Amino acid sequence: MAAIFPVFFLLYRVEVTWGDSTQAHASGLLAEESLLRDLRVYQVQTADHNSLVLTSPAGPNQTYSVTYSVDSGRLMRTASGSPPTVVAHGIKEFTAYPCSLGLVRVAIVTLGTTGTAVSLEPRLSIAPRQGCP
Amino acid sequence: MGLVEVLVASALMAVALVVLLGSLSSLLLGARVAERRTVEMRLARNQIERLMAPQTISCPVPTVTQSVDHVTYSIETTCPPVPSSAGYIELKVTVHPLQDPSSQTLVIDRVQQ
Repeated sequence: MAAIFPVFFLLYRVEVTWGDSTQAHASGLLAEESLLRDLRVYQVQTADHNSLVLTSPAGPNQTYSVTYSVDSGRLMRTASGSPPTVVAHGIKEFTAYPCSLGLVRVAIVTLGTTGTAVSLEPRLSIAPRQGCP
Repeated sequence: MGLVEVLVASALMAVALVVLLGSLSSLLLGARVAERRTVEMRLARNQIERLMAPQTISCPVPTVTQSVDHVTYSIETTCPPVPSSAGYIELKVTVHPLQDPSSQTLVIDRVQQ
């Protein structure tokens, strides 16, 4: 009987930790879906830590831009002429790397329910359909 | 306390613990499987993006491996035959843990015009 409770406690802790990781990965997948969609369509103007600016020629003398940023644990998407929208909650930070070998790479760190940071692996790789600038 | 009461209490406790431990074990196994499926999907998607990056795609594509969270995954890319007049090629990316090739695999088809 004395051995059962430590086993139960151990299983419970492992389940909580893995559940936390699963929830954090789900938040990351939500963020990635929006990033995937935009990165495939638009061109990368600037890629940096917690900042990603995408542009698309919208016509003569006009440029349509989409900006991603992190604000209070939320991934925000701001399009030209529109108010910011929340793409995903529980995002601690993201880093977009400039186009290399035809691929844009994005590293995302999410927050679990217990506040622990979970780095999403493998990192997101996207081939912009309009090519790299 | 009589012997009968002790036996009944122990039996009830044992049944409750078996149910609790069984539920936790199922949760742990389910979380592990879900985690692997997610990683497989992400690896397959990254492989497809990697193949889409160059202007031309040549078959066959060599099999590569990648380790994520101490698990090594095999990423195989095959090119199933399609009619020559179809005007596209089809790529099939299959990802599975290297240590467990018999497990369920994730297959994503990619068509290039």
